[in-house]
Amino acid sequence: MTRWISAVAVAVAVTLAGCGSTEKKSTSATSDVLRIPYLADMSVPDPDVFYDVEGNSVILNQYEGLLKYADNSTKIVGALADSWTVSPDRLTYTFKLHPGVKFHSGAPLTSKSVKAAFERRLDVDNAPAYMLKPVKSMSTPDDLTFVVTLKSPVNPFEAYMASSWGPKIIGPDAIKTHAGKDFGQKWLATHGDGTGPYKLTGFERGRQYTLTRNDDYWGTKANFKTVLIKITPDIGTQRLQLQNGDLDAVVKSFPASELETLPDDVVVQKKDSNLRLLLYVNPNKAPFDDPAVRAGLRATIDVDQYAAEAYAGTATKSVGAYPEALLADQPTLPYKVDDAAAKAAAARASTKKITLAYTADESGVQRRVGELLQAKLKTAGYDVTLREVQLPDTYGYVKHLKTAPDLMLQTNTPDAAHPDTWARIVYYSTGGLNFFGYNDKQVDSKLDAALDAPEAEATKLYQEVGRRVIDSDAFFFLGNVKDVFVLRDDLEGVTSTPEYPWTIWYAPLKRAGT
Amino acid sequence: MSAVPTSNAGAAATIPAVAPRLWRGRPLRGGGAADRAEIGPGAVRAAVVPVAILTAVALAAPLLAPYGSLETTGAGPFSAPNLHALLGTDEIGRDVLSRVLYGIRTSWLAALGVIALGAVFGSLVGAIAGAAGGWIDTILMRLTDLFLSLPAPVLAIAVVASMGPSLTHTLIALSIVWWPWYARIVRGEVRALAARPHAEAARLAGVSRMRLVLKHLLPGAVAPVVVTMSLDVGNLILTLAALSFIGLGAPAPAAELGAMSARGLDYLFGHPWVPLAPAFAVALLALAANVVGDLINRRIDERTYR
Amino acid sequence: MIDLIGKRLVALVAVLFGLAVIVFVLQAVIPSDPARAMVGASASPEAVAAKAHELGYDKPLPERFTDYLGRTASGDLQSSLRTRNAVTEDLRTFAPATLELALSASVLAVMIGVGLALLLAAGGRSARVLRLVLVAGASVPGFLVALLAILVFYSGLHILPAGGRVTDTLVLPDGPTGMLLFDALVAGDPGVFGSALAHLILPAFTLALVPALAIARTLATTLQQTMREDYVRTARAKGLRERVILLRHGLRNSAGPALTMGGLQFGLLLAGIVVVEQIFSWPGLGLYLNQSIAFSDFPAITGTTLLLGTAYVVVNFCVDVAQAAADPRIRTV
Repeated sequence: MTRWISAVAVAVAVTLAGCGSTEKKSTSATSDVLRIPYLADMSVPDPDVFYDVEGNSVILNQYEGLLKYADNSTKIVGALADSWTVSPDRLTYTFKLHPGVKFHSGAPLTSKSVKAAFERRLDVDNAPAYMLKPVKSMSTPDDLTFVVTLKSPVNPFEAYMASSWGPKIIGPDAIKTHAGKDFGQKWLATHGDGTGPYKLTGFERGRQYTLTRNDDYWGTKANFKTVLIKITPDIGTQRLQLQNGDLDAVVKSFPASELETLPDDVVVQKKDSNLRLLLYVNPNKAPFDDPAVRAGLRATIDVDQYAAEAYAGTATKSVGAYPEALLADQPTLPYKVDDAAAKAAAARASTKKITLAYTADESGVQRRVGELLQAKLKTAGYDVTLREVQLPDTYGYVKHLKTAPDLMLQTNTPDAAHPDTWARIVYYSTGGLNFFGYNDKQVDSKLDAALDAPEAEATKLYQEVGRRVIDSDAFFFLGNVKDVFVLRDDLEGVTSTPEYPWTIWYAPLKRAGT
Repeated sequence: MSAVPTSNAGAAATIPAVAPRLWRGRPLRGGGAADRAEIGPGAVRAAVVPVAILTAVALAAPLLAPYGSLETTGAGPFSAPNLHALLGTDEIGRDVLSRVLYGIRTSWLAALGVIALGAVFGSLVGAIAGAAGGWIDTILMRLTDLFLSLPAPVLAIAVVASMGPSLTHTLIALSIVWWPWYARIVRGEVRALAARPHAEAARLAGVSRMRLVLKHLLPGAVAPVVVTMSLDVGNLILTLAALSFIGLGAPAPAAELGAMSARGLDYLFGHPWVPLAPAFAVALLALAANVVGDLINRRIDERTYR
Repeated sequence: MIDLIGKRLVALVAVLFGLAVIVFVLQAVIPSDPARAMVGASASPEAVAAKAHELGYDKPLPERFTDYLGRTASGDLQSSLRTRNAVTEDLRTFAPATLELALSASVLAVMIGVGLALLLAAGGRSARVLRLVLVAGASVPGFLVALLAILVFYSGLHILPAGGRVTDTLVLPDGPTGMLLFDALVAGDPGVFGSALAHLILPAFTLALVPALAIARTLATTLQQTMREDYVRTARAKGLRERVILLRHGLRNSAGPALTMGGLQFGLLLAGIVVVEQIFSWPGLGLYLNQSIAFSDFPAITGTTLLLGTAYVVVNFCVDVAQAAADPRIRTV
């Protein structure tokens, strides 16, 4: 019996030794391949449908819009547009396109292609279509000029163009050749036709996505020939593969407390982003329908503790109701830990049993903040139940406000680096991330007025909205979350932009020594 | 003939359905007899001791633990095991030793609860099905099959999503999928026993159905049920751990061993005591239950053949 | 025999119907807003309502139920809210990977379980030590076993990969089954075959631990009982070697309960599969289910549950029939 077993064992060992072994990746062949993990599949690589966050790097390295945010800043610069002008009445935008650009399919980029792409976004009419809803008409006076006329001035329009979810110029392979009956959505779910430095050459859901270098790119060509996006759902496995050299960068959800125990050949970069951790308060049911009780929450927020302990130094204190880069001169927030004051406010609460919800995430950081906050609330006298929820569930709260949680932790990022794209989604009464139906008519009217007001006045309106939001105690701002990139130390050229979280540009990347 | 394995037999060993035969032949070569020899009452008692200790620890946790299960020590998060905190502190700064003790209590009692519930309910269903036979049997068994086919994770999701996450709700979900096993075992045993002469005799003597089941049939099925229960304890705690890993177990900050281990997995490389201490406790509980179950199993086996 | 099969088939259909009902009820009571999840946070309320109407979420419950039954019976499981593919198409993409993993784990579990049971029946100290090791391995939470296995065999020894089904630079054969080992054999591709085998080892082994123990235990007990039988005593008296008796008579006649055990363990495999597929980046149904849960993607969750429940019921049906075929004594059950 034992002889059989040993024979089988030897056979297996020999087979293993012969194939599938994993040495450290050091051969020149593999230095041509960049490997980046994703924790989950993206929805689809179709820029007019995609509205998640992880997956941005596949879209942004493949497609380009007319404008983009410059590296490490909120300055809007041209992408496919070399330059652009805005008419004095702010209704007409004229873009001058870069000449000689070709799509991955080989077709040339003209203003007509841009118009077709914009029209497709409106036809598909999915999540990011709202950015083009203000458009009245588009025209193409010549091959390299594209003109957009709006129905009324929209201040964030340039921001929309630069947004990671902004209109991307999709090529004729999708829009004409494989249009089918659904404007090419089926084809674009597994293929691509953009103008960017990489082409989508493989999309195996659940396994990996393959990006191949575009050798006809109009800009600086990429260094890595192939980028493999590997779906690796477990952050522990990602870490081990990174340490072993089988992955080159982990850019999302690396547990902050583990950053100090990384080996020497792995480096960490912490960048500013527009990600913010919010505490939503449900003002539609007891006990937080009482403004005085809500105000008592200010004394339970210990932002320093969250930044230091939960985020292990990868978050900073928030200022004001908007991400700092979006609006200047914002007021400091009136939070000060004061157990006595918290107790006093809680004593007025009509009920002490409350639910604190947080959305699930792989790094567990929101759960930790939840636990810390729970401890403080308990000291104040509340009986807190923690509850982990999935993001799609939170969209249902606004319809069932009386049974929704009392408090909720959620990390948000604005669609673009403009105060409207933040305030409208979070503070406007029908905003998509306004989970508890915060309703302030003044906020709504100020936001609407700011949409087409001249800049100085708009800024003032946004600040007033911020003031009202802070005073309402329906939202608390627990911290600005940094973008944390964990990288192999031989990876050079790592660049990113605060407005495109969890994303690095693949084209400038190269391995040291190549 | 010796034990007839019916197609509905459960996980445990089936005890023989007829009068036991005394073993008179040569013992099996090698350790066969040595293996089986002397699982006397002493050995079982010796094995039950760790279980008894664990149960005592579970019940006495509030007295043994130096801190409350939700209490933060002053030491701050992630302090390594030292003289003040024997198992260190976790990501919030809570004492891991205290939480493990409370966790042993929660997991152990939860496991016993679910399994006892499942065993009682399942045995009842199985006994009725086995004794009644006919269409009652068919319906009950098909119902059993139905619940057997429900994957525990999905049921847990649904229950948790509709009733809110809590350890109790997860346990309810698990009870729903756990009882069918016992129904199957008991039904098989009862049917086999019901065919035996003494049952026939009792029926002819006019013993009522209910008494027949309770006094003559059910006791024979107790042994395999007990063995299965003991082996299930480990299984249940591990299933709770797996569900917590997917996010469906006891919600934070509950001190449930599986949840603590799953949530702590992020810190395995930098601060290993956080996930490993509760995981080790799980292994201990599962191991103890498994060993006891095995011993009871073999002891029953022994008794049948002496 | 035909009678038995017939009865079992009817039961199978009834159970499947019950499963469909339960799954519907469960997903219908969950409060959520999948329409909005699909159209995005910035969509107007009209867009959300339109989507909800398109997906049929605004119909009254009984109507949704009858729609659901009709659709499911005809094989239409709706479209995934996340991938926007038909759920049946998604299932077809992800099922082969899980099937391959489950089969490998089952084979491994049987090999380890039977091997251990035989060793235990033959006696000896090594058998008991082995049993203790197996019990220890089966008592540790699966996700920990998985991570530690990766830590040892991948990070430490560099002999096995950390995840995926094959090396990422290999092109997969456009095979008939989607199961790489089989497809690679058919396509005559030793590179893919070897890589797929190496990638299967750790996940299959992790999955196999608990069932292996259960099978070993059940089989060892029944084996010991069988080996005491009269006919075995006769065989021994006739002079047959112990090993021959064990394998020829003992194993064959003890297979029953172990087989049943195997069938039941297949169901427990599911919780393990979700965990293992996550840690080993295995693109199967467990991963699909996990991602669907995170997205509250009910069509996908429903479809996957139905598929897995059906698989389980079918497996147990086959086990029942196989047992009845092998052992005439139980045909009347």
